[in-house]
Amino acid sequence: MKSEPPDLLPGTLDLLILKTLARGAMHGYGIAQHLKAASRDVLQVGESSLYPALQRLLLNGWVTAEWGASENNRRARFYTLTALGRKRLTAERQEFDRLVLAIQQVLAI
Amino acid sequence: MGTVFRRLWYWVRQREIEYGLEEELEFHRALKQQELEAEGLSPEDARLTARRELGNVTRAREDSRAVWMWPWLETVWHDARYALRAVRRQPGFVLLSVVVLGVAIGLNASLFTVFAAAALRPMTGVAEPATLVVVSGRVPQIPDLLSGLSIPEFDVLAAEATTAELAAERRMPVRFDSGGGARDMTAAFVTGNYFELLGVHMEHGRGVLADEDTRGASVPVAVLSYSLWYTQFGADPAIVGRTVRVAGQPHTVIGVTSRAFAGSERSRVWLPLASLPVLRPGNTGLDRPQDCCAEVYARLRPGATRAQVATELQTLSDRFRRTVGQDVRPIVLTGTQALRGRRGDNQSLAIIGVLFLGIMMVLLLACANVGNLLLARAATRRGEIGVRLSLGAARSRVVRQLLTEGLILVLIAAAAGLAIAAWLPRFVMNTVARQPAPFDIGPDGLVFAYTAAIAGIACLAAALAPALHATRGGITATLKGDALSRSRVPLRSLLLGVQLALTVVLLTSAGLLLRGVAAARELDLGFRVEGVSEVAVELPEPDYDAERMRTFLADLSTALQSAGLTSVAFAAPGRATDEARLPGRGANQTSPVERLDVSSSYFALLDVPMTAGRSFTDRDRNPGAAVVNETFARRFWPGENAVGRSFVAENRTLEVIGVVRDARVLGLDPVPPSYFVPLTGPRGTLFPVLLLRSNQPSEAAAVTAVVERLEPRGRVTVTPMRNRFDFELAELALAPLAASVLGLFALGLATVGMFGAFAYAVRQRTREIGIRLALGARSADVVRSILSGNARVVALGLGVGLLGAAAVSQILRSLLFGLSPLDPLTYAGVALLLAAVAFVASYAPTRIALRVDAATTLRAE
Repeated sequence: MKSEPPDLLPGTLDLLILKTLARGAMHGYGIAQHLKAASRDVLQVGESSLYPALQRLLLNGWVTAEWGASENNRRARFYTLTALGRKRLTAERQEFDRLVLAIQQVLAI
Repeated sequence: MGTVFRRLWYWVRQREIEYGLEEELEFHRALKQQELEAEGLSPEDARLTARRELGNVTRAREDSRAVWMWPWLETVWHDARYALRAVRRQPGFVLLSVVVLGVAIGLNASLFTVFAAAALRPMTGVAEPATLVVVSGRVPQIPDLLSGLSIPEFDVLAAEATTAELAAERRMPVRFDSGGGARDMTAAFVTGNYFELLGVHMEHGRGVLADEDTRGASVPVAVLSYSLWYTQFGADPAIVGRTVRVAGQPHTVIGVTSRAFAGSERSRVWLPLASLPVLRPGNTGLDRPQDCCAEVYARLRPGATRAQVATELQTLSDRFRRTVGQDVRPIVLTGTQALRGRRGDNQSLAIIGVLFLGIMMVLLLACANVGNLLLARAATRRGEIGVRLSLGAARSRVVRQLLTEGLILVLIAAAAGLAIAAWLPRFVMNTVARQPAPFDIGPDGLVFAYTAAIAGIACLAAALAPALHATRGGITATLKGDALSRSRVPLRSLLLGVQLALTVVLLTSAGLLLRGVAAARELDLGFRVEGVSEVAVELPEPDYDAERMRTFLADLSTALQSAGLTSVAFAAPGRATDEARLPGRGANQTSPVERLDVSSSYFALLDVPMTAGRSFTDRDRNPGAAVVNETFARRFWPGENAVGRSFVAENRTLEVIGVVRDARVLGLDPVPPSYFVPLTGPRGTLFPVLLLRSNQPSEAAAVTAVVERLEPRGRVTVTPMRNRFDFELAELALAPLAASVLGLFALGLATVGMFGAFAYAVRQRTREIGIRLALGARSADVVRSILSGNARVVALGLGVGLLGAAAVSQILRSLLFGLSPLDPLTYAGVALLLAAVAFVASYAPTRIALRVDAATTLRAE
């Protein structure tokens, strides 16, 4: 199933979610808000991409989920990065840096 | 590893988790709405905007769930349930599709059953067929022909081989008398280790033992086949120990083989090999390496591979053949399946191949037909599909759903097909061919797997294109219900064209084969067959050796003469395939020819004219004189006079004294190059056939009387020579019969297909027709416009089909007996027939459309 927005590089959404969660546990809406704010409104991740991506991370054991109370006391599902997820984040980060560097080098010619 | 457990965990708590996901999405929406309200939107606007911005919730939910799924698993179950419901709703459609596909798959599986039984499955009724192989030699002159080994060669191989144990059987006709009259049947003379080595399953008693097969001191014992025991002895449970007569000599029955053991070639009785010279005096099979052939079986010793055995046997065979002065030849090991490369096996495989081609076409046709039905159904379900798409189902999901519906149809059809395959091959063998198959026919795992594969292909072929087609063009187009007619090459027309083309190919083949048989019936045999009878004389075997037969032949000729029976001739029975070459040429420059031993009156009796030279006379005892036929003369001396020339055959030089016209004395096949030599005596142990030209039955009776006066124990059978050709014609009629069945089935399918397609096309254009009629168009114009649309498809299908038929018909050439593969009458007939069917199929729906009141039609929209 395709779930990344077309303007994101493949696999990048997972990286961004992992990075966001590295700051602490967060619910889905929070993640979307953070991505939007941190990218100054450039990255508007739709729910149809976000939630499948979260399920994928859960399945791979990179994050865990737990029900808790939100800021305004509603039941919300909070996602936390696991040790495995942290390792994954480092690995994906390096891979992404390598990729971006490569792209920049190509564009610089 | 962890993912598997997490998947399982999800599986167990699925419902709970899905509620959670829903709640999560709702929470997300609520927060978004709050945010929008904070930005100053009215609560109602905020709610709507939030919902809109959230995107496709269903899609998000489905995709999220899909992450957890083992691919397909759950959706397949849902699809199947949904499809079953859809199937229940339309029993008529389902019945039609299942019948069409079921028959096609059934024919396919039936043929494969025969093929698997004959060419893939090892011999039945023996122990561990996996380590049992057949040892043959490759005949160098004839490609792809395997033959057995001589007994002397077998003896050496069996004594010296270390990697395998060898056993042999030599088949030969013997006279068998169970007490109620003698009959000739095929006996297998087997080595003493045969039954033990093969591990033949026995119904009663035991097989031949080693000490019963001592050369020069054989024990008169016999093993009966199950069918012989069943039919001749009433399945007598106390059969073991009874006495039967084989070639006039008493033998003790020691056992009955199991029903499953077919032997290798319909043998009815098994005897010790060592008794061969006793029962067939004068037979040199045990001693002469030139005498062919015994079927040799090898049981691999534990640990030995086929390659090792082949290498060892090759070495032994080469050594043996060099010592006796024979050319070495490659030794080939094959499995024990019925078709394994012996004489005739390749023809059988070729026939199966041609049939397979036809049956595959029928399957394709059936798929195209059901595909069109599915397409029409998908068209009526455009609304439903559109709703599913707009509710967030991915296109792949809907396609899969439609494919599942196709699969359900195909599965039911495949079950029906398997049922057909379990019954049809046996039925055909027993009723049409009138002989039991020399192998066990029945579906097994392999047939099952093949049917499943065929069904899978059929499903994709029938359902994929319609499914893709039906979901094309996105939601709006689908909901509006008009995308279907927009494509450039309409899929429906394409499928219909394919059906028509295949039908043309099948019908043309059937037509050509039918006309081929008619041509064979009218075939000029080159001689006068009417009024000629073949009189077979059987002499009590052990008493008549070659010398005594020769005397008997001379006595019989004289006695017939003095009895006033002058219109008689003698000919050696059967045919003897030989090789001939020109003098001075090497042994590798030979051509296969037929040799016929005939008496001097032969040509006159059959009315075969001499075209050059003369025939032999009774006084003319020159052993080197030969008459050749025109084909022979053309082969060796093209464009020259053959009389007076000489050629070498059977290690002697023969001189051509005359040339006769080509006559199909051997059968309907094209006349082979043949030479005739004067009949000097019997060939082997078979007494010559007496040919009698007479119009009065009394003369046949007189011949019988003469024979019986000379030898009271002799048996005489009189058959009109015509029967031989009639029998061959009856066998030939099987091919057109099979082709006609396929062709008519195809025509039926194509008719249904055309009717359905045209009716649908007319229904789609009802509105247009209504408008035209309302605007004052005449019915004739409307009819013409509809017919011309259909005519294009029909014409294209016909054209492609005729071209295909012209290509396919080249394969059938050998069955057409001089009829051109491009026989215009057949092609024109088929084209006309299909055009007529197409006209009727498109005319009827059009009439129905015209009868509709214009106003009603328009209001219906």
